[in-house]
Amino acid sequence: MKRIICLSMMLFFLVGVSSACAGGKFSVGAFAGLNMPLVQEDVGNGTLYGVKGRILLLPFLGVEPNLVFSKYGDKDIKNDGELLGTRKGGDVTSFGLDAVVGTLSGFSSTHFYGLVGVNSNTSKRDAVPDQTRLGLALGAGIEFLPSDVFGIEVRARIHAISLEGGGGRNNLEITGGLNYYFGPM
Amino acid sequence: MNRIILNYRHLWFLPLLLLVLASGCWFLLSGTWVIIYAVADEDIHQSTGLHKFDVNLTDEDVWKDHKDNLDNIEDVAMTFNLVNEMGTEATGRIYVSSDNSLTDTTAIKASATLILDGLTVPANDSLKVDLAFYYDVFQNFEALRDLVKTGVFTGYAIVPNSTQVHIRHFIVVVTFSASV
Repeated sequence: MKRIICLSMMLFFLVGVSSACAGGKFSVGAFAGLNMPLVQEDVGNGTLYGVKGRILLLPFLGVEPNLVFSKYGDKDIKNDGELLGTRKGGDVTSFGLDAVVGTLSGFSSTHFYGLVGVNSNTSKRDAVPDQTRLGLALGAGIEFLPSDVFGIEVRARIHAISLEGGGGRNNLEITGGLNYYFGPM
Repeated sequence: MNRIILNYRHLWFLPLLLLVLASGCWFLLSGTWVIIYAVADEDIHQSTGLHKFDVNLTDEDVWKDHKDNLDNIEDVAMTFNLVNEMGTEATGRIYVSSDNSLTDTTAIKASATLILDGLTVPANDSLKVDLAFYYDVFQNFEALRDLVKTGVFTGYAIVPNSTQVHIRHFIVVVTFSASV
């Protein structure tokens, strides 16, 4: 838990300093949702949560440092209906940077955007050595702003993580979250 | 105006991002599959002090579908029952090898890879090795992974008395990733 708090504080500090340098609007937010493995027979659906910041570089372009903790669901291994055992799904800690392109500023109360990003992922699973590998993210989202400082966001993100030895794991992440905005409109 | 110029200077990361994306997309089209391979009890052959069985994944439809695009063997697990009909405690060991012609325990110990050791069965009892038990005692994953990549390997169970200590219901669970 200490590690999560420290990393989150570092992330917010990074976002704040970067935004101050850029002289623009920025936000910090938290989110949670579902982690759904795609074409992976050995794990089930899991959950995820995380924190992120958004620094607006241009009215249509921003960058989002993010820290995500995701879990895979456990999977029962069966042979002709007989349960051989349950395989633990394991979890992934991801730290990355997404580029966000869309209607990100102005007076509209709704923002639409697409995103693409890179990240570093540390995977842990019983009986498999831990590994830290490169990942890529691609997605889209929508954010509603009921006030000048708060945003409510829903997004879908494909998160692909490479594996040591070859291949990779692709996940669909569906999340909802809250953002708090700082800086000039 | 000055602010826009300043902000454009922060776009340095975009070419870098595109470069990483272009060089790293090979794993975007990858999936993970599981084969559950059951060895029939009648295919477990008995000789002095050992039991022997072949595992041939190449006949499995999932393997046939993906073997040409195989990326990685992610996990190999085994479950089985070890049945002891002796009046004393028995211990067993499981070895694997690419060589299916090994016929005595000395040759197996010398050239095969030990993956399960210290399987202890009380007198007139049985030991059920399930996934949890297997992961607790399993060793030498890298060597086993290399064997499984070929799709064919042979398992050897060394027991004190092969006529009274039997191996039953042997199942191999292979998890692999492949491009789609």
